[in-house]
Amino acid sequence: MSTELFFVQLINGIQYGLLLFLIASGLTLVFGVMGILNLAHGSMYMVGAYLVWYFVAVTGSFTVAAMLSAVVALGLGILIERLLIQRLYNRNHLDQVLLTIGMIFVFNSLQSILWGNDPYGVAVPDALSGAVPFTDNSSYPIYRIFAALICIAIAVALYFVVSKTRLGMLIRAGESNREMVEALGVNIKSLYTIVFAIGVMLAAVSGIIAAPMRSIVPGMGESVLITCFVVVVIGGMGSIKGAFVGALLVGIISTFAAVLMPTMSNMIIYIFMILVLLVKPQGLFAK
Amino acid sequence: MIFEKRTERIFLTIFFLIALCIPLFLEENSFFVGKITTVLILAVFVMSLDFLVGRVGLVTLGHALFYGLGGYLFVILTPEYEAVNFWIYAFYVLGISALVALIVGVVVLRTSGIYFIMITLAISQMAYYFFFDSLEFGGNDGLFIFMKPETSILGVNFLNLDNPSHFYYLALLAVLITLLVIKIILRSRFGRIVEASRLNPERTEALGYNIFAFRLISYVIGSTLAAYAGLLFALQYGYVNPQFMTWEVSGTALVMAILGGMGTIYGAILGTITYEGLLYLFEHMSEDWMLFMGGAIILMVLLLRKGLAGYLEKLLEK
Amino acid sequence: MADNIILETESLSKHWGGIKALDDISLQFHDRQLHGVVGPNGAGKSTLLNMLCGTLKPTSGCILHKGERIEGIKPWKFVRRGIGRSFQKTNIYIDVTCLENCAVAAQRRFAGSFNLFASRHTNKLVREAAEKALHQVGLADRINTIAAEISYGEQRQLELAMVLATDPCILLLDEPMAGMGHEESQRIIELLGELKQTYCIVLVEHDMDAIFELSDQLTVLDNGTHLITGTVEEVRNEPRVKEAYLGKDDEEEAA
Repeated sequence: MSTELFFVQLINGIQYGLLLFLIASGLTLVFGVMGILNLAHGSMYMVGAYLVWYFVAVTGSFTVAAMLSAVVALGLGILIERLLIQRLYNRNHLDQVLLTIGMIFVFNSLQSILWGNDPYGVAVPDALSGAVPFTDNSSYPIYRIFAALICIAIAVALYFVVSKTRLGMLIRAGESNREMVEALGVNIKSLYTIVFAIGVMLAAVSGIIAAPMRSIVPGMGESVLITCFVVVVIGGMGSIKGAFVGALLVGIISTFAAVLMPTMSNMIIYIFMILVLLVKPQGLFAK
Repeated sequence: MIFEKRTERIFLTIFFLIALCIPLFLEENSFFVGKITTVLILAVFVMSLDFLVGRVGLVTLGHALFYGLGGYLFVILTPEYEAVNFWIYAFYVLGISALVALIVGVVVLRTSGIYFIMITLAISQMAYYFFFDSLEFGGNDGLFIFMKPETSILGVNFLNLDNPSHFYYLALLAVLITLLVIKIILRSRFGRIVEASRLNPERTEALGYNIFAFRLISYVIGSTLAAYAGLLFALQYGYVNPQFMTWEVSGTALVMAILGGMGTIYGAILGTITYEGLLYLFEHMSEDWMLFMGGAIILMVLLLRKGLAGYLEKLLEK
Repeated sequence: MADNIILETESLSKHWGGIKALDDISLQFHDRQLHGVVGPNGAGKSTLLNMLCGTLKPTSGCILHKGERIEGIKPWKFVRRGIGRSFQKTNIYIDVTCLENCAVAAQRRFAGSFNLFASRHTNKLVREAAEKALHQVGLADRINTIAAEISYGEQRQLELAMVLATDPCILLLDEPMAGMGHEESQRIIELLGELKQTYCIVLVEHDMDAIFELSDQLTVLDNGTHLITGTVEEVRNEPRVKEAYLGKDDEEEAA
């Protein structure tokens, strides 16, 4: 493998990993704080992608579409939490699995009804199109660099919120001690709504960012969900730091595997996950 | 007795009575007989999952691995154009499946909780991709069964598996066997400790039991029953492919088990029938059946806290 | 009276990072004696019990059972050796009958736990052992009651019955009388008095009446260190003990 190819794949892997982190962080946040395993999390990613495609078709501007999509996703997150997720707090994990699987069905069929089953694409916005040359014969797409930067920015913002703000403190406290948070006079219901909405946003925004880079097809939510689970399990359920490391590892490993061992590339991240779990049964950064 | 609850006895009596008669009434309509046969086979699969999840406390999302394995093993072991003896080859298939389950179990049972869910999922995904990417095993198209096996025991021929009604009774027999095996084990001395490990693992270990051993044996039994179901399904339709092993199959089975009432075992039968029934209904009503299915599932989670069996028991148990 | 030492620790320690939960504890527990363990909160009593039953592995030091080193082996192997333990927080099978609770405990003694066919209800020996244990603690009339439906004190008794049903030789009891009323406590004290004639009992308790009445030997722990071991008289007269328990209050008063 040439150095050039190596670096391109490495950057691809990192960029893919960053995107995965965005999605995975939402999943692990919701699980860590609220104890809810949201199997419909992948559907939120799908919703983000479809929404941005729709709004681009309507408004013609990617920026406007992205913002509209984010807002709609936020509203959706709040709605779902209030209507459905709230009723799960005292139920066991299996009921959560069941309900969120029901939600997957509903979202998938709504997607089919509203937008049909043909594959769609979103054009890379003009300002970010083109590529940056870095050797004589290869260049790297600007949009991918932009996507990676946005993911890093959001990751930094997330880190800042969780470790430096009051909300973040409540989030961290809520993870281990719900009663204590309530004793602090905080309305735990509102906290949960906010956390869930953040989780949904993270997934939807990654769908928005990813839209110009891949086809928007039915089932995209489920395939990203599985990868997301692998990331979160490797990193340790509930740990955002773990999700970051896990996402980068998965991103890089699967990118290289696709190039170096294409026949085994699908299996590789699962093998990796099993190896991690054999050594650290609770993930790398378990709480 | 192995069927302790009144609701259970009533349901199972009605179920088996109706089930025994169906091929007699629907003799001409082999399509329906075939559809119900598939439901019966699925019920075996879901019962085995209910056993593992609801009674042993092992929430596995990789159960479909064994479902597919049952089918693949049969095709791999049998010569292509020969009608082998069903009982002998079923024995081989189940024996090897049990061995695989033993190896997998030793690996996955080191984890628990959400990690167990994930590692079982990972292993079945790996198996899916293995068969998907493999040319020797037919890749995504899978493998085909050209001749149905024959079912003679000591020279006496029972059933002709090409006859849908006969195959139906084989499937019904499988439901009965699975039900009895699971219920007897749960009532046994072994079952007492398995139950205790689920109710309070810490306490059970403090009493000196090696929980790992109990879980491993249970895992092997549950997985072998799943392979049994997979074998029957492959035989019914004459093919096996990687789609047998997807997490969607595991997930749907879990939905059926929870819907029916987790842990009741008879609820698994009820849940399978209900799910498949609703599916059939919605599919014929509208193109957007998934919407109704999803809505129905959500409603049932919110309203029937203990599943259908739980609801029935509320009505019938004093 | 000086029966053989059936359980002992040598320089047993448990550290967590910088925190020393237990430091250099050497104790001897004799057969057919009740050995009380007391100390202020955080002294390390529960940690000690957790190590004696194998739930926690020591950082250093050893545990000897009948002269053999057992530290580090799996918890269920401790139980097999006859080391039984009751929990401070009631840890029973709450949704089944008292009989079933004790039956689970007793079943291991009679083999057949890997019997996948024979019904659990036909196991006469197990049933008898379970009933005997329930009789011993005074729960004879609760045999077929669901554990969730009996009183808190009765649940503590059930906890004790379960340990007895395993036919141990050593009983490690972690505050068996916590939360009990006077009458119930008396019954347990009587029971323990009887039991110590057969078993080696290590009793961690805050109920001082019980401790003084029952202990043949008494150990005081403080902040993870071994303060003193001796007869009840010796310990009561030891000034360091008073300091450990009361000293902190005096300091606060002086300040």
